[in-house]
Amino acid sequence: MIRVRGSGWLLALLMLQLSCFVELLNAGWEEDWSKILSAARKEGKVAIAGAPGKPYRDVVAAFETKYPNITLEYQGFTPAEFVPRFYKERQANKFLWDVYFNGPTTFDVEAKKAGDISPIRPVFILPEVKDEKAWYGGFQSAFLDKERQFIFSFQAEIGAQAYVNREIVTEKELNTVEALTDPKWKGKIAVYDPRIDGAGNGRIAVWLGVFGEEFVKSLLKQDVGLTRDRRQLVEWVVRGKYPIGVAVSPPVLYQLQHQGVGSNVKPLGSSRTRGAYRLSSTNGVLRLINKSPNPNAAILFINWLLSKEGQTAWVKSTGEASRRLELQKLGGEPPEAGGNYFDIDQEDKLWLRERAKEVSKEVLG
Amino acid sequence: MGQQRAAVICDEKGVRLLRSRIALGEFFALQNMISWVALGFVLLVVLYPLTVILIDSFQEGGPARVTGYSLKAWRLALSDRGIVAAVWNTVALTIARQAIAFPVAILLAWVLARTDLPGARWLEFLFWIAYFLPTLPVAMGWILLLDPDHGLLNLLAMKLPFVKQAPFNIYSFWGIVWTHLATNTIAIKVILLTPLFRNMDAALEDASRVSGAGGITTLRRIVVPVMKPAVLVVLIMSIIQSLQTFELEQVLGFPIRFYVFSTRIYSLLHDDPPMLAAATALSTIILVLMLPLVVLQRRLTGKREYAVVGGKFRTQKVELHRWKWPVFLVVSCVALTVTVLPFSIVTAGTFMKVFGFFGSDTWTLAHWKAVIGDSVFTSSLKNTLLLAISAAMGSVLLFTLLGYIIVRTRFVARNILDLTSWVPSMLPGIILGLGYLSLLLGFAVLQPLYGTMAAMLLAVVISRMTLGVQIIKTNFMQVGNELEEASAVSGASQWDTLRHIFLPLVMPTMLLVGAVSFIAAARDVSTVVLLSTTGTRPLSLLQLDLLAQGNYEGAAVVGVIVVLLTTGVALVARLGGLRVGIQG
Repeated sequence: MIRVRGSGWLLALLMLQLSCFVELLNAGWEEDWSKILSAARKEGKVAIAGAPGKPYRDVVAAFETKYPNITLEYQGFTPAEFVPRFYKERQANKFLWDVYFNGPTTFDVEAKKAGDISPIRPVFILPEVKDEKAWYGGFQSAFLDKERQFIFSFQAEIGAQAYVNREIVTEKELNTVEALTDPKWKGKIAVYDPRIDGAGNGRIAVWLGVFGEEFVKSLLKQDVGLTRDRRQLVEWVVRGKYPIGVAVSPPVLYQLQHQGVGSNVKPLGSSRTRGAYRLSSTNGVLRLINKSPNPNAAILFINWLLSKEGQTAWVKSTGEASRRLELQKLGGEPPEAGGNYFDIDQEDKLWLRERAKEVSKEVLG
Repeated sequence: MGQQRAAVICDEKGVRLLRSRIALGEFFALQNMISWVALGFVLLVVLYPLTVILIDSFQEGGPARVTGYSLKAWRLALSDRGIVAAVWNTVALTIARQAIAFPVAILLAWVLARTDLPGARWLEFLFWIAYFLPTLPVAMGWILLLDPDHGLLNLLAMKLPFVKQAPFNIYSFWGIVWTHLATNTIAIKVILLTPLFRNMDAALEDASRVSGAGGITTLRRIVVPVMKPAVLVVLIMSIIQSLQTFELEQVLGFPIRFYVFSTRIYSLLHDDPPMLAAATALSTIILVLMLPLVVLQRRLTGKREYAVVGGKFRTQKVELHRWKWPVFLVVSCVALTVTVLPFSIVTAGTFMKVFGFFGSDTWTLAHWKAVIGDSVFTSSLKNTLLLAISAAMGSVLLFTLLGYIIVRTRFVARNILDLTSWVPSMLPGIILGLGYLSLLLGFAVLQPLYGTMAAMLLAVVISRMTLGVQIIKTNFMQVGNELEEASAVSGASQWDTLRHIFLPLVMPTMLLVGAVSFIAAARDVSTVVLLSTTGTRPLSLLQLDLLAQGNYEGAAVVGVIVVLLTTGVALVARLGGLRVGIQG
């Protein structure tokens, strides 16, 4: 009994020490923040490269509202446009960008190795950003790089791997991913081209990891319809040209459903069905560029974007779920407790993406 | 006394002759200097990026770090399993498109330019509008009509008792060919050929008719051979452009696994990491394959026996008599099919909640409100206007100068200038954009331009150099020397000859170049995306944003706005220019 009581005291003491340690860690952040704020104001601007699309422009515009003295220069690029431009500029000693957010790509690994991006974790200043418990899966899950320092995924949207037009294919006929290889679905499945970087490649990579190569090969041999146009894929499924769509873009589908079209297009399986859902960072992956022209404004922007306020702006504008646990009910499709998800965006899973491309090229030509 | 006066007159004549010779010498010296400066400029802005692109194709290690040089990218590009099929598909598609479009375009251009067809000027302008229409929304419109499952024309046809299955399939080889023909393959040829046909001396046709030849025989035996250089240039440009077309093949070819060269290059560029070196290697192969065609064209058109605008130039038109209205009907149908029909579909699409989905609650103004209400719309519109107007003016000035040097001077390096002007059209936009990036970042003197509108302007103008220079060049070749000689004999200065004789003859073509450059600059994405900044972003990048979201309706709104802008500018330019130029 005494021992138990003693343990309780010890635990309480430990908790006290821990909280003191956390306090100590957080202590002085206001001073740091004030310095950053003042230096950022002196810099007067921050240059952000991000994903193309109005929702992303709108998110960063909210920053300007909060900090009107700092001009935010935002440009949206696909990785195919940004990466060559970025390196051509750096080769000419032009260091023009402060922060880059977009989906995870091999750029992250290359840039990390080449020292073109800096560790982002040390620049987390606001306690609400530094608090690991505030993020789904903690920093172990939110950082995509092996070092858990450079590539921060602030979005955790769960994405259905396939959508089905239930007016044409009933749940009774098809309710698992594994059943997609059934010959009766030959010519009924459309896929976003998995041979190039993008949603289709991500989906096939997940299934490669979950079900193996034989499943993927059998699926791709189902005389699949291929497209590189997100809208075309959604329209095919909605119109029933191909009633099953793999790597359908949820925002594009929701856009149509919001206009009263395609309400019968539903995800295949539930979040507990094996291989049916993935954890997706989409475009919510943040990097701090090394040798940035406005280092303090960059830190200010990063802390703002990862704060409750910044993430609220993100969810409201993009409609995609934040990794911040307190905002999970705000919008998008956040992960559920007990869900069966596969996080293909982690650096140690990159090889699966590459393998998915190879297998797809083997089958599709 | 009389002898003294005669001697004075002789002296005065001698002095005038001497003066005129000195002036002529100075003029040629100035002309030569300008030609060398122009050559230097063109070599810098075309060959420097090309050299960098070529060096890049041998690099190893990806864009982040160059670890060495090898043939790895070339091997990768050439060992691509689908490359043979892609080459074959590209060739087949090019032949099919050009075999249909070319005779049709020649016939249309001749009818519009050389006959008394009612409303010919307006019908010609409809083809201009067809060229201005945005490709992707127009393609969506044709899918709406010709999709084998839900295409409206198919559904209508299947209501007929004897039609058992959908007669049209847009997702097929011929579907792709049709959509090309109906978007701008025919339109561009008509707008290029019509002014050239208009410049032809009617005496040639008269002679043919007097000899008993009919209209088609005259067209085949007289008009086409006389127009050989112009026709050849347009044909080669069309072939080169066929190799670069991409959007339609991507949307219509992919579902049936129909791949072409350009979609292969796209795959390499959108790989992760982007396979720039391999994409560049493939692009270089296109360039090398095209060079013999360009050299051939240069040889065939190098001789100056094709002048059709001479001192006795007449523009009298062929009378169609009883064929006037049937021909009018046919030409109108073609013009409406490539213009009014797709434009109506695209415009209707901008007012639909979801493009192509009809229901009880189909129509909305929401897409227009969203685009016009976008915070970047006004600045993007201003930037587009600034870029497009500057590009139109810059293109006319630069390409006229280059065309003049190539055709009207004896400048020693004019052939090099001509050949170099073909290079920009042979490379995909994004590869060319990377070349410009290297150009602007590689020279300290050019670095201040980086991130400015001037950088975008330079890239946009140079990327359309082939089309502009070749149109102007072909037009200059049509104008005979005797007009200038007659002007000089009459005592007119070089400047007066240029202003009163030469300029009116080439004005319609210069306006055409201006209009084509305007629309090209207003639409350009692949070049400007690599060079724009927040302050210089044009409407085309707003459209890119909307397409990235899968928002075709919003993208179509931007497309319609650009078409309206361009049509307005082209209309004003045409009305003004036709007053100055040759009246048909």
